[in-house]
Amino acid sequence: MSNLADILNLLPAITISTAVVGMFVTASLIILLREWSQALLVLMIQYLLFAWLLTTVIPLPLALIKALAGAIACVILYWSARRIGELPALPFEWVELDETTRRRRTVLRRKALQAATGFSMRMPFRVGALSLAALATWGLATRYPLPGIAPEMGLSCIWLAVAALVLLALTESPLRIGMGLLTWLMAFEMFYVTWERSLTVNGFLGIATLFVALGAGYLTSVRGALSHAMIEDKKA
Amino acid sequence: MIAGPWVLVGVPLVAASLVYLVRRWAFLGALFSGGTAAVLAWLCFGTSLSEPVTFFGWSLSLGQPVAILGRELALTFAGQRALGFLFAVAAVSFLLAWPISPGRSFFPLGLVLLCGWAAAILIRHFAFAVVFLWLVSPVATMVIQGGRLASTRAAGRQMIILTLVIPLLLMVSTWIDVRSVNPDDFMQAQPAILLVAVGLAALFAAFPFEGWASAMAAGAQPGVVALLVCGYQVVALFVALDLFHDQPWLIADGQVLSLLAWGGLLAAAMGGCLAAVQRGFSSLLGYTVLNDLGGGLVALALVSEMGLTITFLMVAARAVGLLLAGAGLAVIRHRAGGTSFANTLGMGRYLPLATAGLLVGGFSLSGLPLTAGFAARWVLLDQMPPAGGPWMWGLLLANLGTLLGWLRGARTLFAPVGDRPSIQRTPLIAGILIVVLIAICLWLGRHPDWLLRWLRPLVDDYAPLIATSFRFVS
Repeated sequence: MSNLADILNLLPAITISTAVVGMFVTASLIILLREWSQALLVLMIQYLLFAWLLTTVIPLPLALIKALAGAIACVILYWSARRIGELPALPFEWVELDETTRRRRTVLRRKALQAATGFSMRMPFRVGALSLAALATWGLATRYPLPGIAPEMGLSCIWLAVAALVLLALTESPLRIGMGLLTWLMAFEMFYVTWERSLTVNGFLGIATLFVALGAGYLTSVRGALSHAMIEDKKA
Repeated sequence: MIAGPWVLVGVPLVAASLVYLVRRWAFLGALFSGGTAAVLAWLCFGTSLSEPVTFFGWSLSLGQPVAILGRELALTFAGQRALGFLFAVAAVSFLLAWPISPGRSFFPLGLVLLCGWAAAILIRHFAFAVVFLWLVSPVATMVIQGGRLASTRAAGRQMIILTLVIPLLLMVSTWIDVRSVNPDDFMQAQPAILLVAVGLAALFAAFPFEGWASAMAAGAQPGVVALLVCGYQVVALFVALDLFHDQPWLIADGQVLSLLAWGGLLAAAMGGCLAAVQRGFSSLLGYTVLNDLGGGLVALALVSEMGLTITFLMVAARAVGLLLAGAGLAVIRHRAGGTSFANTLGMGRYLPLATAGLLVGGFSLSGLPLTAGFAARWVLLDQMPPAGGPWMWGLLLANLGTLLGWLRGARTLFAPVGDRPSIQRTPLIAGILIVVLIAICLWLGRHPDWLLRWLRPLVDDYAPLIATSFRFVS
């Protein structure tokens, strides 16, 4: 009976370069996709590619554990968003405002509710930001290559870090912020595992991944509940 | 014999699970969690590191190290004081949460935070210390939000900044190991120095990473602000001091401290300017905290015996000011339904105790004479070397900005208004605690020497660090 390593060896089509290109595509899609469930699915695929790349520097079981931690983190985010439904970004401190201010800000609220997918930034802007991020990645990877790591991996590492920062800069939604932070952690771990092979440290990084997902999931629930409360308020 | 680290890390965790069961009853939650924190604080302050003590037939040695997953956890003298201080702040915060609850989850999650912070201070490895700090950040997220249907900005920012920055500090640890192989290679040291500067600047909320601390202080429930701000700052401070102590080459050329000093000054200036123009007490408190944290960083970067003393003094005074302002603001917010100046207009007439607590706490954080925060600010300005004249004026003006903000707040609270609908008085327990804290704040303002005597051994503990470092203002 063939083990997992044999099965993975049967996938010669997925070379390192393919995985790196895949990382570029997945991170771009996470930034561009409007539907949160699709973006989460892409994040999970990104974790699989990440684990595949890691097998070139660390043992397969360790890489699989990292992929598993990422997959669980995605499931946590999915449950949080699914339970409540990701609703639009709202003006801050809405429920704490007095009546007069609330009335004054009704226009803002309507706009927020109309942005039904949670994105305040339009597609052309995000495409522009993504293009700049790609240019910055290329410049950084060629001028300041990361030490102790293969060039392809260094490139995808920098790309993931830059894409994570772009994602964090473009959104207020806790769910998207969670995705951005997980992408940032992926970038860090890709670089860090070549330096630090300690099982304890890597175990803690896995736990940290789950905790970050829990934190983002919690905030997603709160944000969703706030949106529901506002909609009910409007209906009333 | 039970080793101290087991008790200091394990007891809050066990207590958290018990407190979770009674979280619906604020009285029981406050009693259990406050009692646990108070006992642990007493253990840290009242027992010796070297001599075992006996409790109910169990022998406990605080100073005995333990090894977990191959890493040593040991309580040092400085760690003992730091943990004692944190547990004491937590005990008061838990008691204050009884009359004005900041959310049911505060009691168990607050104890989990204490467990994580204790582990970060006890573990004798920099990488693991920052990992523990990171692991408690999502827990802190939940404490900050406290189940409220309100903006998630404060809770989110805290988690974002720590998740972005802790990986950089983990890389520092790796670079330190790499450099230990070839200590004379300066090029190997540069990345570590840069990463330490960026990482610590973010942890200490220096400019340009100051947003998370001010947002946390402004956005969290007033009753939990003191615990969160003190917890993060104390752990970061002692982890940083231990790192500098073990790796003095990191600060030998003064780059890290210079960056921290500039970041602190700019954060203090920003806090002062913004505090002066706020229209709500939460944001005013947030920017005042930012101003105070910035001043503390400038003091730390002096790297003199007096600089270190001022840093510790500011940490202690900040805790008193934050507890007091937080307690007063929690009551006012609960009764007035908000913290904006518009909401709290004239509340001083109806809630005199809470108002006094809020204002004395705020003025103490701003360094007003006769309050606990004054001595440290005054000595800091006095200690600036002649070449640091612009720094002194910058800090002084920033301080005046926060004072102006609190004076505007005081004017709002005592503004004449028509009769409000009946407002409940300050809860008895909160009132008693506020009176006690006001007395402590004013007493420390008159007798800072008492605190200085208490802090003296702590400063002596880090004396070798002072001897090996450069000054940032030349």
